[in-house]
Amino acid sequence: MIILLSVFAIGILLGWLFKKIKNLEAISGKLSMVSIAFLLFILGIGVGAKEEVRSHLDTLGLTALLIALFSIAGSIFLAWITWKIFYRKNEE
Amino acid sequence: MKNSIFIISFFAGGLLLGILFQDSLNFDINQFTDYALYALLLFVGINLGSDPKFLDIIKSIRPKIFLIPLSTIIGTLLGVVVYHLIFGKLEFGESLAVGFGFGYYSLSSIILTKISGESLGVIALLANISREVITLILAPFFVRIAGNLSPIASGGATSMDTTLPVILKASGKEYLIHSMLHGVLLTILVPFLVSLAIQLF
Repeated sequence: MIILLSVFAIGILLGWLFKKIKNLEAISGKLSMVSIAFLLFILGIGVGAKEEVRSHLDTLGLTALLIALFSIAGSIFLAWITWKIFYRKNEE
Repeated sequence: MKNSIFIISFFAGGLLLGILFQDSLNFDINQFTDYALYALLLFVGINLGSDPKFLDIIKSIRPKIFLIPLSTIIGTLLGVVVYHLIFGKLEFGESLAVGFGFGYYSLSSIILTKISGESLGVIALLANISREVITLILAPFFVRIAGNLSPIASGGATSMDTTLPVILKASGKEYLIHSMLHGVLLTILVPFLVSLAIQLF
């Protein structure tokens, strides 16, 4: 994991150092799309080939939806508190 | 949105292939994905660092603005704690890692597939796609019940790109910097927080 995070940090630094290079942002954006597509393709194969994962897709989906809903609810609750205390009063 | 469909179609294609050839595949995901994952994080990093808006956004920071991503992180933590107390099917750290994807479904699902296996990878994929889609649909509703910052918080890491248009429409154009900075910071934090959640809990 540490290697992974270092690679990420190096990427940010490289991008910042070489941001003058034309199209660097567009090219790196395209390349990350390609890597994501490839990795999700592999993830798809892994899920499809594994009976024990595939047969539980409905349960996994429900768990996913619940975690999403609770994460959003918690986030907007705290955003509401932040809004009330720090932002709304300052509106002209 | 076009990008999301493009990306998901690859997952679906792989899924189909996996089902068709399940008997002939003895599949170990790690042998294929190590270098692709390094490449991905390198490209995502370069992409962030080279974004001309990146420095502007970092420069325009006032201390108060950090409260918004902070609320999203603590709020997500709170939400997952409540989820875990009620349903608690997964380990707490696993649920938290999924929540800490903050809508960044591609990266979080891939990292979690690598750390924990396909099941958690799929959960992260679906949960974080849901977070994006729910924000896209419900942003105006969130503003009504929880104020103008709430769609930013709901969008998570996607508040800098995919959900930005609906956020600005629901909250107002004056929230551009808040929303962008929120998205940039959470995007940077996703790899760290996802792996931290698994390791700590």
